[in-house]
Order: sequence, then structure tokens, then C-alpha cells
Amino acid sequence: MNTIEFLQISSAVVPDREALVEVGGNNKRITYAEMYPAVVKLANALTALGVERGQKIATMSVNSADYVITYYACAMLGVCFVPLNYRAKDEELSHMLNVSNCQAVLVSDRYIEIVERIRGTLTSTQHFIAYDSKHDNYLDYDRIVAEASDDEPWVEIDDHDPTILIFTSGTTALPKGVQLTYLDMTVYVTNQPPADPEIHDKVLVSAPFFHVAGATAMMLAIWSGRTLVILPAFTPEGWLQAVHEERTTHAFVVPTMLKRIMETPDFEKYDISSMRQITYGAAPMPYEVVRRACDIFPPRGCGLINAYGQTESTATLTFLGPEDHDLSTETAVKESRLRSVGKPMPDVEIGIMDERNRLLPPGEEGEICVRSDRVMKGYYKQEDATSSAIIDGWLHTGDVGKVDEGGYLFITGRKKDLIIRGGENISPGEIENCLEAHPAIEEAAVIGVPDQDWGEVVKAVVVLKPGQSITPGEITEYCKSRLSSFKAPQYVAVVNELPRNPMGKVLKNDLRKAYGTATNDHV
Amino acid sequence: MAAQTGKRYTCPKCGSEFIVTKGGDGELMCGDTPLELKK
Repeated sequence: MNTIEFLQISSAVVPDREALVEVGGNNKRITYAEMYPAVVKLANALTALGVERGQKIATMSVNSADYVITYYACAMLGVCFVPLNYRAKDEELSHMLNVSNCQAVLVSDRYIEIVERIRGTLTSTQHFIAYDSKHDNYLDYDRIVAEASDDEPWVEIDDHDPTILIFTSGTTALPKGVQLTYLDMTVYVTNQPPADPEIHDKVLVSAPFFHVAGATAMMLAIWSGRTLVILPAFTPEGWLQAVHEERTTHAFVVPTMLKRIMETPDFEKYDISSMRQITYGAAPMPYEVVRRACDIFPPRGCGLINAYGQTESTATLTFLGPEDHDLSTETAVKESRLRSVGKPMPDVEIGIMDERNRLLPPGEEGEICVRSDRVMKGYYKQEDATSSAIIDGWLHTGDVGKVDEGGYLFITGRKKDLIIRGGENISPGEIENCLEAHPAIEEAAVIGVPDQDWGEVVKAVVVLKPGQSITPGEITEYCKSRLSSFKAPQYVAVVNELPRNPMGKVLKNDLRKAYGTATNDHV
Repeated sequence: MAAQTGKRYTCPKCGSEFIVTKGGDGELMCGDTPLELKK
């Protein structure tokens, strides 16, 4: 199924419903009946530039209504969409545009200067289109759309063609392009019902569309005939204001966003009674944050969902549902399961494997592997990386975890982040959870540092709560009282903040570079 | 049975699922099997 059919169905079933609403910016409001012709006209404008099926088009923009329209215009033509991470370095942007042979790039005002900086390095990009203002050497988006034909194009696609190429952030190498197909997206969205005239949900998206969480939110909203409320730049006040004014029902947030929302001083001033579901994911959720969220949201009728997945699996693999976040019953067992990422989606099979790719029984820790029709087609032009990631039909996520007797998946760390102390594998996750339960510690990350006797030993990097102090010795003793003693950190660095990527994931490589020595540090 | 826009139907024989994008009069069939409204 071509993803353009998501829009075709919704524009037939709920034509008068608002499809796209921008808040905190241009404040555009576009109904499904208006969106479809806008997509047709942009598709024809791109065709007039010589763009055709199988080619690629990039965007360099914050989230906007035009961004969504651009994706669906590409789908209509069988063109693969390449949403660029606007926080990438110049060298990475050139790499992404060149390796994917992008024919055109559409750019919002904020990123014109960056694109101009790298223009001379681009080998295949022929057309530069400015979304907002007029710029020299750029086609004007509004003008090419206005001049385009209204005739509906029809292009046959193969379900296995890539519809979107999402580059994953490389911490040690250049970004890898993950190819997700029309089939991947179709399997993803059809977990939910299609548009229905009697059900009008409104989803607030603040995750960038270049991230798989944002991209899949865009797919699902259009498939389900929802109103997609677009918040281009997240602030907790902006998010709460959008909920309050637009009466949104669903939202996806990363853990740091949820924490900041709950810490907003005027939180109670906003009416969030319309919210029925908040999904969080894209980075590990600190237990203290989700525990607090359970006291705030479910009692107000807003369910919480933890979605675990990765770009290579078209987002969600497992989910911890609203009933697991409702602590009014079975409190103790549910509190312990808040540390999990729940159970597999219906179309997903999870296997825990050892280092020789053998499936392990429940309770044993190993690499989390997955089989599903939603697994990526592969890394673009990287056959070796693809064959390392997909072995005998199983996608190896690189995450380490275990499944309990109830079928709940617990993630304990990244395979590459495992600490091997005297031959003993230590997952940082368990130690980080322990540290973050300490009353003086705001957040913590654990890395391995070289040691002459043990090969590696555990080092904790912690951020303290305001006004708190603690010695490395106290931290070690605290962990020894709660964990096996060999897991207790031998060294501690106290820092002001942890380095994180835009989605809130701690950048362990940066930590290892800054604090990877067998010393106690205080920054 | 009038088909209303947005209603979903299934074929009890093959399991296929259908969504009506433009409503109209008449009975919906999958081959020679009448479709059933999905509840």
C-alpha cells in the first residue's frame, strides 16, 4: 500500500476535519479536503523539475505543515523522502545528501545559511527550494506550487520500495541511512484503526519529523484521520498551551520533555483534561520521572504508554500500556514493571540472544533481537552493516535486556556499553537505576574505565540535585548495599549535566571521552 | 444495505477488510459473499 493512500482515504472519509494545525509559529490550519490538493500540486511541481520515481528529495526544516505535505507529495510520486537532522554537522549533512543522491532539497529560512555553507560540496542536488522567504538561487516553494497542475498523478510503487530514508546519528562514524518501505509504514499504521467520521483524535507532535518517532507520528495521524497539531520547537509552556488551546487528545514526548512538563511552575493553570494518552519513548525513562507521571496523568483520565523501538524497526517494538501505568491496583508489581518497556506489539516477535545468536530462555540477559515485517529494508548502500544487523531474519538491536516470566521486556543497556570487569558482564542500566534512586542524585550514567587488575571497572557520572553533596565513597557504599558489590562504582565524576542527543539519550561516547579515566572527578 | 462513508466491512469468507471512502446504495460483495459491517 502506498502511504499516499492514507491521505486519500482520510480526505474521503473526513474531508472537513483539520488535518494539519501549526501552533507557536505560522498558525496554518489545513483540512483534509485542502491538504490533498496541496499535495497533488507539490507533486506536480516536483515532476516539472524532472523528479521521478526512485529518486530522492531532502528537507532541512523544523516541523511544519509544508513538511508533511512534502512527504506525501514524495509518496505520491514514488520518490524517497530524506528528512535531514538539522542539528547534524556540515560534514554529515553533505554526506547524507551526497550518499543518497538527493535531487532536490527543501529548506526553511532558519537553515538557508547552513545549506549555503555546504552547497559547494554537494554532488547531486540540482534544485534548492525555499519554504518561507524568497532567496537568491532558491526556487520559491509557494510559487512553484501555485504554478503547478491540479491533475492527480498516478505512479505505481512496489511495497518494498523505500519511502523514507532516515539517517541515524553516528557517534563514531558518519550517519547510516535506514531505509523504511511503504510496507513498513503500512504494517506500522494498521495496528490502529483508519479514519472514522465518529472519532476525532488530535495528536500533538513535538518530536522532529527527521526522527522515526516524529515520522511515524506523521504517518499514523494521517492514516487515522487525526488532526496533527504541530509544535515546531518544544518548550514545556508551549506544549501545555497547545494542549490547552487545541484540546489535543494524544501526544508523544521524550522523557526529558515529560519531566520538564511536570516541573512547569504553572502546570495547574493549563487545562489538560482533553488528553487521553501520552506516549513516551526514544530514550530510557528514569524511574522517578515515570513514577511521578503515574500520579499526575492517569488520575486525570490520561493514560501513559512507554513505546520502545528504534529507527531500524519502524519505531515501536514493545509497549507498556495504560493499564500498566494505572497504579490504583496491583501497585507493587506494576511499580516494578514501570522499569520495563512492556510487551511486544502484535506484529512483533522478540528474542533474547547470546553472543552466538542462540535464543535464550526467559529471565536470561542477552541482546534484544526482533522479527517483524516492520524491520528496515537495510542500511542504504551499506551491505556489510545491514548483514551485521539482520541475521537469519532477526534484527539485532544492539540493546541488551531480558524478558520476565510475565513477558515484560527490561532493557539493561547497550551491547557496546557493557562493562566487562574481570570477565563479568555488567549492564550499566541496573546501576544507573540504583543511583537515580538516591535522594541526592538527579541523574546518573555509568561507563567502564580501564583498570590494570580487572580490565575494566565501573565509573559513575552523576548530576546532583540542587543544594546536595555526596562523596564518591558514599556513592560506592550506597550501591554496595543494594547491588552485588562488584557492580558498585569504583570511581565517580560529579558533573553539572549529562551530554544528550536531541531526543534526550545520554551520549556515552562523549562521557567516555571526557571522564574515561580511573579517577574521581568533580566538574 | 447502504454503505456509509468511513464504515468498515469484512468478508466472512476470506477475511479481507474494506473501508468505504464514498458512500452509496447497494450491497457490498466480495466475490459472491456479502460483506459484514465491522463493529
